[in-house]
Amino acid sequence: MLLEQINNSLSSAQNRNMSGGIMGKNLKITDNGSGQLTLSGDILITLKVLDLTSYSTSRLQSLMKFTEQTIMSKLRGGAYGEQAIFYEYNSAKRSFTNKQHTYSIRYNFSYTARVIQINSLSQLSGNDFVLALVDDIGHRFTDIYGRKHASGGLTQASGGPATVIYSEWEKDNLIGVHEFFHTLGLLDLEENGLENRLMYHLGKVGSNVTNKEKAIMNQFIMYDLRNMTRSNYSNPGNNTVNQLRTFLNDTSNGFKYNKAKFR
Amino acid sequence: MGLNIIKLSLGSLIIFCSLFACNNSQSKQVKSVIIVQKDSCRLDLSKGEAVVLNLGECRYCHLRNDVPRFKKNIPIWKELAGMDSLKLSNFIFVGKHNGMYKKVFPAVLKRIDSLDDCQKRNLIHFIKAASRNQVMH
Repeated sequence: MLLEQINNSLSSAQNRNMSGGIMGKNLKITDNGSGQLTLSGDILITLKVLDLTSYSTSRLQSLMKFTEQTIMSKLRGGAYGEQAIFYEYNSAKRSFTNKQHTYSIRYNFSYTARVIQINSLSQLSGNDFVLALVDDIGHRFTDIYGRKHASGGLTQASGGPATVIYSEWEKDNLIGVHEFFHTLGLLDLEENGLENRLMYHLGKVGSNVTNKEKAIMNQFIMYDLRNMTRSNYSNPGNNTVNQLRTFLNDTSNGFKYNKAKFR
Repeated sequence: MGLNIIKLSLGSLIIFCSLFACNNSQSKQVKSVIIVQKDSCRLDLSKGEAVVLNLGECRYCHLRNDVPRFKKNIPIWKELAGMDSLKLSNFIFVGKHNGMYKKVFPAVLKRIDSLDDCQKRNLIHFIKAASRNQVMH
């Protein structure tokens, strides 16, 4: 009974200490002895939504719920990564040796996603992921065919802040996930024939995510394999508030938003 | 008599000059044909990323964050991106990662040697992109 109480208080203390966009628990590496490492454990992805619009966002809660479910469904199911050049894993010692080795990596994490609304910058930590809602984005881009496009969202790639125009999110409810997946390292797709893919960005986005894209996101999430040798993990600081401020103030992005809400 | 000699000399000079001018313009045309070349390699981040994945993901050692750095002497991904393109290209394709590919990963060496020029350029383009603020739409 006493042991159980100690265990409970220890685990709740661990939970209190952990925060950030990526939190992993029960992390485990399994070596099949034939050059494949399987990474497993429970990973919680948290995306914080900051409403910087000047108008009513009546459908925000339902869009957030939809985004949360879509993030989970797209990340779940595991993925096979390409071969990785790394160091030999010693299962008995649960650590990597200094001897170099190639492995194929299989990601088998159990994902949970949380999309929550925040009302001020004080609720945003350095290692959080953020999706800011704005009124408009003036930025235009030219595609590989030489055509100019407006953008419903804009994200600073690989860990940076994501933004969407709220009115565009209402029209195409997958834009929120599309932008957030840029944060998790995915690139835009433009080639003809890829219109059914979630990362296609010339017009309405599709919904498909390939195994390769899942593997890229998993690699982003567990980018340092040594973190797998601890049982718990949360991502390091990324200076999220400063990154968001710089991104919104960059005039080349042409953001229009309610500055009074950025506090 | 003197006038005739002058006329003849001037006539010869005009013919000589016109011949010279024609020859000169011909050689200019030849030069311009040689200079014009079409580069069919389109730089594309996803193509560069595909090369990285095919070679063997480098970002498990060249981490995207330096907290903590993988090893003291291993540059993080952003530091690689900040390197000069030619230096980076020589390090990968000529020096083969200080001989590491040959010594430890012969399969990777084979894959590197089989890359065409456009794939090599896309790989460097992809690495270099990490030093820029990449905006995705």
